[in-house]
Amino acid sequence: MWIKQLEVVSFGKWHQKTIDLTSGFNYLYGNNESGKSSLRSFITYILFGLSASEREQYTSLLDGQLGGRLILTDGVDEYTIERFSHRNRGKRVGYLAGEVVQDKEVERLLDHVDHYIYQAIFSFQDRDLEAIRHQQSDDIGKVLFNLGLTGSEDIVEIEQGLTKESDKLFKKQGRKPPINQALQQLKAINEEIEKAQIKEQEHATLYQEAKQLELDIQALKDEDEQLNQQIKDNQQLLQVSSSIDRVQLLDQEMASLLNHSHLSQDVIDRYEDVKAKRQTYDDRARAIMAKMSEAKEERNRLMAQSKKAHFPFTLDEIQAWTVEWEYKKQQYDDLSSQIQSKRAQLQKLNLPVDESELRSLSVSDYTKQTWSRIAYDLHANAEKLSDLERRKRIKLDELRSLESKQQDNQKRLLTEEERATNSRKLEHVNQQIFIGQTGASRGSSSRNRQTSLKQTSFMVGKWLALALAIGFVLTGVMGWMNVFSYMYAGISGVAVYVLHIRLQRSNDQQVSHSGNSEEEVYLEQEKSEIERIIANDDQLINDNRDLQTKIDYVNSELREVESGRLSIEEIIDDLEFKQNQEINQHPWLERYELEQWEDIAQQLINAKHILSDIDQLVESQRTTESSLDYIKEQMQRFLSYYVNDLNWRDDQAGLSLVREYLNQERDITNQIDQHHHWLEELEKQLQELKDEYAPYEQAMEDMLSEIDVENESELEDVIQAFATYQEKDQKRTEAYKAVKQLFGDSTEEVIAQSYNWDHLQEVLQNNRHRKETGEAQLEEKRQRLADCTAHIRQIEEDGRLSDLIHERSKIEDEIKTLSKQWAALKVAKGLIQDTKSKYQYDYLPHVLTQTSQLFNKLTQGIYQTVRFSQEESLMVQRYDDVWFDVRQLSDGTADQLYVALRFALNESLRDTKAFPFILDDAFVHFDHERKQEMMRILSQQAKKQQIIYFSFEEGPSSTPYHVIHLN
Amino acid sequence: MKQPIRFIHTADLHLDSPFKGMREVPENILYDVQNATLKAFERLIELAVNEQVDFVVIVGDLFDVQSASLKSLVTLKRGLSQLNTYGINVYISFGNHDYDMMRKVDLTLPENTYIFPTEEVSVTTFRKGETEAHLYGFSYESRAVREPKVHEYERIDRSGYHIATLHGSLKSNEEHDQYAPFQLEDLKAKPFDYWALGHIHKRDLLAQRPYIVYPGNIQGRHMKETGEKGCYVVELTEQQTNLSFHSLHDVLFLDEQTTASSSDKIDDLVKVLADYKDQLRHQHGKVWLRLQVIVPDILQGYETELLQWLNEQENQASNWIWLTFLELKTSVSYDRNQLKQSNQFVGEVIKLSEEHDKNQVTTYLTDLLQHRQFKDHIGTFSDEELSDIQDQAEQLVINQLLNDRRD
Repeated sequence: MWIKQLEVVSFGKWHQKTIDLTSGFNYLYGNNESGKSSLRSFITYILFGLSASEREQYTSLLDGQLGGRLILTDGVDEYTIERFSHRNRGKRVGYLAGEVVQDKEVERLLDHVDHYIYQAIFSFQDRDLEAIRHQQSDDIGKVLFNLGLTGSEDIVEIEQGLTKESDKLFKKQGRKPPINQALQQLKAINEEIEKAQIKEQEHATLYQEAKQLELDIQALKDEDEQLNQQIKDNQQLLQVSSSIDRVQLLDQEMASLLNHSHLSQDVIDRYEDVKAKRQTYDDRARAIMAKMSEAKEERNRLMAQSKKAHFPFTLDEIQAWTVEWEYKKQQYDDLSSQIQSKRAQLQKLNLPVDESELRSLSVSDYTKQTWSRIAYDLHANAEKLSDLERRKRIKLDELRSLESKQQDNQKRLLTEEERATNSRKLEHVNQQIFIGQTGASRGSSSRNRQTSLKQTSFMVGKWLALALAIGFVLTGVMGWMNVFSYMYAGISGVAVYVLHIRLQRSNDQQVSHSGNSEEEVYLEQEKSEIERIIANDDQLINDNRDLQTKIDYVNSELREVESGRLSIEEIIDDLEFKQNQEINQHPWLERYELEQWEDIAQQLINAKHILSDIDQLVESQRTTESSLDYIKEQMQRFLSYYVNDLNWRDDQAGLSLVREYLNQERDITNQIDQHHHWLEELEKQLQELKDEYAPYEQAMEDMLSEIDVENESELEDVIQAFATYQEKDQKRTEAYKAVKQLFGDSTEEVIAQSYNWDHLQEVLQNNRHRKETGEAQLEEKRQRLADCTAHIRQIEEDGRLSDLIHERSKIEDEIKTLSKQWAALKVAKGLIQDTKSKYQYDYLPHVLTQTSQLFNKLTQGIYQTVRFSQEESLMVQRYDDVWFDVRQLSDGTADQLYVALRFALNESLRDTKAFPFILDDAFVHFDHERKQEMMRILSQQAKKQQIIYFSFEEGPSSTPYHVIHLN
Repeated sequence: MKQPIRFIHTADLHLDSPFKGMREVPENILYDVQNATLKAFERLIELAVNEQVDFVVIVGDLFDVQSASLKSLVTLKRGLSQLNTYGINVYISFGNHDYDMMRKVDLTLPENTYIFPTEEVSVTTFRKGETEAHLYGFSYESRAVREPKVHEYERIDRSGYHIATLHGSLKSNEEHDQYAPFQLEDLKAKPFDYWALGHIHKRDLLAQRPYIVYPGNIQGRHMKETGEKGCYVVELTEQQTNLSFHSLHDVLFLDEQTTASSSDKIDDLVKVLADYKDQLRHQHGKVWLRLQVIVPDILQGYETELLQWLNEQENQASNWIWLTFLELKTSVSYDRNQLKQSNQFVGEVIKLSEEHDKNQVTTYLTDLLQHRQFKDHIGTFSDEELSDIQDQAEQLVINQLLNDRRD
């Protein structure tokens, strides 16, 4: 590849400048500041870019732009490479025939030469020598060495940087770098972990021990329990040893007593029961029988005392006589008093006839009515007559009064003349009134008003008073009669009064205001006077007419009354005739007033009734008397059984005696009956008792046969033996109970054995001792177990190992991470060094041969061979075979060596990479001869590679140089 | 008629296991992380109680060989006792991490706990009314069981469910140490209703007829064990097998990548990342996060500041999001092959690096690898780590030689 054209658009001082180049030696010259370096930088910029500061340095002051194009060719195609800082984000862009090509294509075109290689190999300037001279003399060798290897001294820096970085992380013998520190920490923590693990190992041991202890403790506990049981058993045995002995002895004794197999406690109980029952039966039967004989005796005595058996009537009959006799006696007495009373009534009547006359006299109710009617009619007609006479008198008086009144009125009547005068006067007055009509009408209206006002005021007053009264009453009624209600009443009253007064006053005022004239008043008065006189006269005429009518009526009434009176007088005469007829028939009637006749008739009727009553009563009395006599006779017969010589003088006393004996007889009879019943009851009881006892009797029989004994006495003996057995058994039971209290269900077993108490005592002592020992051991093991458990717990709760392990993991992790970083640095460095070694062995020999040849030429044969030392430095061999280190060479010679190396590198790479060799004032410090030599070498080189050479010196004008003057 | 059986299948509890990558972490987060396995185990117990399962199957690695601390044992015992009070049986086969613990202490566990007694496969039976479940398994008696065990699993001639437990790995699995290796086909060929596997920490359903299941571990422990961790509640019925996963982890490990290519200011990026964190917090609670963010060129190189800033408040949070690693990446990267071609020296370095094997790389590191403490307690770098280191070294060289920020 070679550069065909530079097309600077804007770069430093260059602006729109196009420079064509050849594929051979291009010699561009100009003064200092003519822009040589700018052009070289332009090429670098377009192909590889520049750093920011460099870009700033070359940005055009004219248009602020940076950029341009290079036209490159690979001998076939022409490519345009363009780079502008303001286009395509400052990246290079390749074109082929106007089309953009991919950057890969550009890279291929550049033969994969990058900036680094370009700077290190294909770009060379005087400044490089300057730079190398400024290195420490010690480093020159290394710089050259590395340059020889790689073409760049940067490697040294990189290597040093890597070493520094890796040493920061870890140094073989270091203490401070983090990896070293972390490793120390790791060591420490591992030690701690080991301790913790030992501790946890201890946990396992403790755990085992604890387990063993638990087993031991359990075993000891079991043993202790066994011992406890044994001790308990022995103690218990010894405690009840006497009881056991007694039980065993009694058992033997009782065995000999047990010969009557049938007897049992049950039988004994039954026997005792029957015996007790029999005793009770005997006692009770005896008592009943005693009572029975007593009752019989008493009954016999009573029966002897009674006479009832001898008389022919019953006690009830006798009882009935006494009652009947008393009843009849009473009846008889009642009849006597009734007769007497009737006779008294008759006496009281004071009759006009005696008893015999009365009996013959026929008086009935008809008589009574006849007499009564005569009396009544006479009396009634006499009254009517007197009434008619009274009415006649009254009518006569009335007639007289009416006639006098008529005469008075006649006198008071006006004459015809007077009447005419009055009519005229009235007419006259009316006319006068009509003349003053206006005033009159007003007066009339005001009068009306006055009237109405008065009415109003009256009404108002009345309603107000009423309202107030209601209010007052209500207030009072509702019980509010207090100060306020009084005040209300007072105030209302005053208000009513005031209102009334006011109204009255205003009315009066109105009246006075509207008053007539005096003339008017007078006319009115005169008119009314005349009218009154006329009216009076009219009234009198009317009255006279009425009076006459009344007089006529009274006269007719008087005639009627007189006719009535005459007819009544006739009736009375007739009645008086009848009266006299009766008197003739019953002359004693004359002694009585006619009005008394009815009563007399009644009295006689009554008296006749009484008489008949008396007759009936006397008859009844007689019948009663005969009954009494019969009863008396019977009662006397009854008494004769008790009293030998009866003297019945007094009925009452006789009756009492009858009653006394009757009661006596009744008492005896009752008592006999009672005793009889009692006896029956006792017999029944006795039978019941017998029945009740009968089963026991049978039971006794059964028992005897059951026990197989002849009689009760034998049975008694058997029972006695049994009692003895029982007594022993009781004792045995007590002893047994004492044993059982301790041994419970196994008591039988305990008693069945025989014992050596002394030996047992010995065993007990022994066991007690063993127990004490065991307990001590147990306590000790428990203590140890508690310690173990506590220790285990402590270890478990510690968690130290866990923490440490996590911590270790953290540290290990840190070491790992840092180590990786360190390792990466180390490997990077190692790779670089190894690559360098590879260069040393693969590429360097060729480069060194080239360098040696060129250096030989430049030093005109003084130095012949160049090689690298083991210390990464360059050694040169002088013509006399003496070797010098590069540091021993003069600056100029060192420069020549450097140039030789660079040229050799260029040459060595040129085979693989066809790239222009660009030099900028490269040999400015060389002398003329050496410069010529360099030119010659370059001219040779230009046949194979494009050379672009910048210089401040005017160059040769002849071929093969293509000279461009930059000014 | 078989009644359904419900059980929990879990494995790889690694109780009290130490975590990796806990540098410069605040106290609260460190505490949470260090206790996360224990917390997850407590959740497992809680789940068993709440779900009223018939029993729990733990297929190995209850403990962690790195931390055979008593704390783990005490926690285990407590949990098992709790299940005991609820009458829930536990069937345990010990794994390669457990045999040490067995030797270390005498494990007297509650009566509900059955441990497969030997390295020979044995069978035990669980009864629920008329229904039986037969559990098969073995326990590691040494650090490793390298030989296949599948042939030892022989189904007994009894009705009921047949559940096989196996702590081991597929022959083809090269990521993990191969224990009790098996071929999937071998397991499938055996007439079991369920293969309860353990040892692989990543949840995996190897087959469904029958179910062959790795439940994974219950709590992630480093950046390689990312995502939800938990156990399966398994229901076996006559007709089918139902699995439901229940997460148990307390701390979630996440390795995420996100883009913030539209933010061209640091403030925007900070906001994007803060929002991203809050979203995670809301979704997952405690999260241990490694994050790669694709950003524009201009925002490269702020990792340290951002990391510090984003983690600043987390020592106060209960649901913390701890950003353990942050990488801001531009979409532009070196073309390694191109470099190999183009640049003489860098190309040589890359070529050389490629030629170097593990041993040649370790020669650069002898200072550290020969350091006694390192050698004794850290050991050496794994192949994977060496590969990482080599990559980083290469990157370093490239950056050093090429990074001149030119335009």
